[in-house]
Amino acid sequence: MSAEPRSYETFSFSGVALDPIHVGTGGTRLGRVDNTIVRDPVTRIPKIPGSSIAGVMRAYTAMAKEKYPNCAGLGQPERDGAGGHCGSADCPVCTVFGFAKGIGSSGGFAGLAAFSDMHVLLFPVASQLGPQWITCPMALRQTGIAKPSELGDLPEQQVLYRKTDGAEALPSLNLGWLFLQVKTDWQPLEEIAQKIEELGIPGYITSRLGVVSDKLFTHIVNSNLEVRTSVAIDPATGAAKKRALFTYEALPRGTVLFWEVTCRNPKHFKINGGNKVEAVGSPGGVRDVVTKAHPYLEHLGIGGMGSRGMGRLRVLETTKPDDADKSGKEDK
Amino acid sequence: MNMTWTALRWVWRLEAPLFVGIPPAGALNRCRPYVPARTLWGAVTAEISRSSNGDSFPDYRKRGEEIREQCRFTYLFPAEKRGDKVLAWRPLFRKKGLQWCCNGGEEYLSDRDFRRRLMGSRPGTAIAPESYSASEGTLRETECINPWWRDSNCQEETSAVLLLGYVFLRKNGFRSQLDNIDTLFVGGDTRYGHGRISRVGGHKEAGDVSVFGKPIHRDRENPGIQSDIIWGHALEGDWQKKQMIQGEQELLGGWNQGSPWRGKLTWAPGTFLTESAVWSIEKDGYWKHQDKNRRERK
Repeated sequence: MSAEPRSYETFSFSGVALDPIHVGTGGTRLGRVDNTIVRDPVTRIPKIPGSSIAGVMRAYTAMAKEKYPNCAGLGQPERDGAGGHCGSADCPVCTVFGFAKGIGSSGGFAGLAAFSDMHVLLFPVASQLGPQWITCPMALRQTGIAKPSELGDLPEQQVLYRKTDGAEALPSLNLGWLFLQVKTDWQPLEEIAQKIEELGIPGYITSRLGVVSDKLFTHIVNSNLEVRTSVAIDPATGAAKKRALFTYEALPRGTVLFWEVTCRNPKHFKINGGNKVEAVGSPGGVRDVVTKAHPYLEHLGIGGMGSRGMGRLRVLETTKPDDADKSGKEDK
Repeated sequence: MNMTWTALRWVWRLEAPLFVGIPPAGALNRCRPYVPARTLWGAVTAEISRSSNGDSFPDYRKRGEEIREQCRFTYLFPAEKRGDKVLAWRPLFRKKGLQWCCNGGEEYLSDRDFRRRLMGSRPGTAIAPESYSASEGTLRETECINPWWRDSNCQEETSAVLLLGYVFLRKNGFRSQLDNIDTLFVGGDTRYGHGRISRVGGHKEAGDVSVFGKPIHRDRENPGIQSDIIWGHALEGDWQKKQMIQGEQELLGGWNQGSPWRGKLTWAPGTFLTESAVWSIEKDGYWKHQDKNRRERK
């Protein structure tokens, strides 16, 4: 391990969707559903963009710190100059999440916390044995559970790999409409399952873990998203309103998501023309401010359709600072 | 011969989408499909200043000047791994317009096809905290380089997007600081997780004494590349009266710490000349034409 001081630290988080989560693309599409969710443009696997997380975390942190609504949102003041981000050196919201203006001057601050996209780590699928949580090598590499150089492709592409212990000895298993041969001879799986458990993911999930190829994972996820159909009710008739039927999709309840927060050292920044950041003193302090939003995330949720039972996410584990050495200063 | 400059080849892997902005088009925040030298200089300056300064406030300006003096960067171009080789895609203006070439000119893609393989976009809107709904007038789309290549026929496996470029070091200065950098944050929207790149392997000296397959000059005040294609932004000058040029021009501008950086009219990467010339890489990352009769000497 390098003894050099770090300019930042990266902390890992994982969470389980308590409700379906819908982070929409902002428009309707021709296709299977009307209102689609955000996907990775290449893998086509749904994700929650870092910009969505940053905004939600900011709002909830502002609530926790009693800085809502002024220090949440875009932060533009009213025409009379009232409101907007306070931009104070001792404001935990404005220093950690940035602000759009300085006090009595132009300029701003980019913020000390950077949020990665939330990626699907484990995806729940119905099977004849009940729900199974599926992942793939690409998802594992993105989380840092396995280094890209260490985790290659699966030996066979059209097979479901499961653990030997606790798994019922079935030669094949259906994952939604896909019927796959089951094998238990993929060696890295034991270690991967252990690392997933260390993230704080409950045993009822890790005991039903399965790994498929990257290519199959895309199909399994996209074939098993929750799709709802809604219609507006005409209050005059109490019946469905004409032409108001629409469908929307969401990540299903039980999906395990993984993301990282990179926290910069506050000592390396000055705001408002030369003031030191006073609200936080270290990357760990930045993380502590961000985690204030987690209880709100579990109750108020993320994404759209929050008034229809969607969006709640329970954050499972906060990696301790000493364990979270992903600062790019690894031993060579 | 005792060379002034050491050329190192470096390869980076995108850990997240990358956004290097150019002036937007309406609600679309457009992105460059490469990383300019000046952007890279800023990212390297920030990282070296912070990691070598412990818990005290770094002197960014001083360290930045030192790096400008001691290091010169080529642009980082998107690359992909094929077998043991890392092959960069570089721009080239041809009769059909801007194209991207790879594998020593054996493969070409139109700019449209190349961008389809490399880039994506993501929508976004601000949420008004008082109403908890989309804030009026804030819907926009941000273009970015994907961490994964789209395959050309949607059948093959996707591969990671790499960035390949070179850095010149004067008398090997800053070598240890550069070797210590494994992760960099480049470009914009880094608080949304964008721009995180990690180094693949160690820095390798350009063993065949070439940069992007072109001969280099390492014994001058500024490092030079002999090429008939410009892979940076090249300053205008008298040289352009003497040859045929295929390319496009761009006015570059930006900010230095606390003050505007006066841009200059330049020829954009991919500009093609009828005759090969020696180009020096200047402190700001510009490419500057070296007149055959008045080449700078140490």
